[in-house]
Amino acid sequence: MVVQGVKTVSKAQNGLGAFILQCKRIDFHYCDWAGSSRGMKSFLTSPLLAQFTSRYPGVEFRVSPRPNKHPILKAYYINGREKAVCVRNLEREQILKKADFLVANSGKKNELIRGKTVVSQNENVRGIWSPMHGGIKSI
Amino acid sequence: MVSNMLVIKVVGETFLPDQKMRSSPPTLDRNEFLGYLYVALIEKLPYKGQNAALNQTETERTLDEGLAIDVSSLQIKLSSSGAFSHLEDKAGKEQGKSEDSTTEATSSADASKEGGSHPFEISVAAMEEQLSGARFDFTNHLTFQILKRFSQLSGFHIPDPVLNAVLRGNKTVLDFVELLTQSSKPKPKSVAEALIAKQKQALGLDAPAPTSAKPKKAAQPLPLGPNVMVLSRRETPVDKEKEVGRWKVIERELRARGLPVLGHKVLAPQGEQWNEALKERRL
Repeated sequence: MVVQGVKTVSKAQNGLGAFILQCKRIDFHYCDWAGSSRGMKSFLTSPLLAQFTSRYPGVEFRVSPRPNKHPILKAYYINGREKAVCVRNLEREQILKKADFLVANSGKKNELIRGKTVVSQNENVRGIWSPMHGGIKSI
Repeated sequence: MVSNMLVIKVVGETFLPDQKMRSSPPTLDRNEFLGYLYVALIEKLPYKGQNAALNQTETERTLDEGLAIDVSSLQIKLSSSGAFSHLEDKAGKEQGKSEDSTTEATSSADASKEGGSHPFEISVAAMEEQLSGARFDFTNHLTFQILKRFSQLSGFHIPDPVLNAVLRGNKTVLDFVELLTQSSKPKPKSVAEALIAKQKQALGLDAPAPTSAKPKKAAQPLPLGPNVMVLSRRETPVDKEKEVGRWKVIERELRARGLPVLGHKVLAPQGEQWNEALKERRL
């Protein structure tokens, strides 16, 4: 009996052929008065903001005050979800890390990954194929 | 107090101090600060030279009293540690210049009879040359007299952080002038204003100082791209509705129903007429 492979085309998914960034917008909120926004204001007035935003021309960035509130970063994703991170009393380098995290995020709910060494969307129940095992065929 | 005020006009590369009342808060540039400091030093430092009129005045002289002081012939002398020591005459140097200055002095003497002003001219380079490497000696009481006189002349209060930076960092007098120039610039009050000003600067829309600021233009800030929006106030729910083009409809429908468009400003307390009218409508 001849083993025949199943003819399929690649399943469309992000990163196969083209990668679309899932984050569509990030809001930077700060307070002009409060001390917890010190790092945020420093980040916004530093060259870091222009450097960061120029790296992601497809993402919209909004800077707006939110008086008498702690500073936050709010990211909007194309799956319709939002993620907000409070950055009170953080330094500007720490805020840059948070912004990097949000812009690269998928926007999905956080999942606990435990007990699986290989993380894949197409999990193989039989393990990884090896040419050294099984019936070796001469071609 | 006001009559002692000196205003230094910058004419090209030359200073022309003259007497004038200052009404607006000072917006001074580096050269003006340097000029005022120079005048304060000339007024307060002890004189060690041949001029009898100057010897009499000791440290209490002021340049606008109509004294025929030929300032351009004076030179500031520093001690070995770099602190200000005393004033001296330039011994026979630059005859041509001194002739010019004497004509200045005579014309100013005429002016002093009429209006009491005493102008003199000195180039920025000459002042920088005399003040280069100089440091304030904060153990000497004269330093504080000089700084006080400088504040009176310029009308600019020296901020404590600037003095502290000079004292702790052992900075030179020219550094001190730089620090003062930086601190005298009006700071933007909000982040949005600062960002907008920075964007204008980056795009070259801001009218820059034509010649003097050019060397510092090397560090041109990167402009924010078209994907960045800077709002000067809080983004409200109304703004969000306006953005998607729904606000006109909402407003029209609210008005049609007799409802407040932007919420209740004053809520009527219990038992008032407003409450009664609501009850009636429910019935």
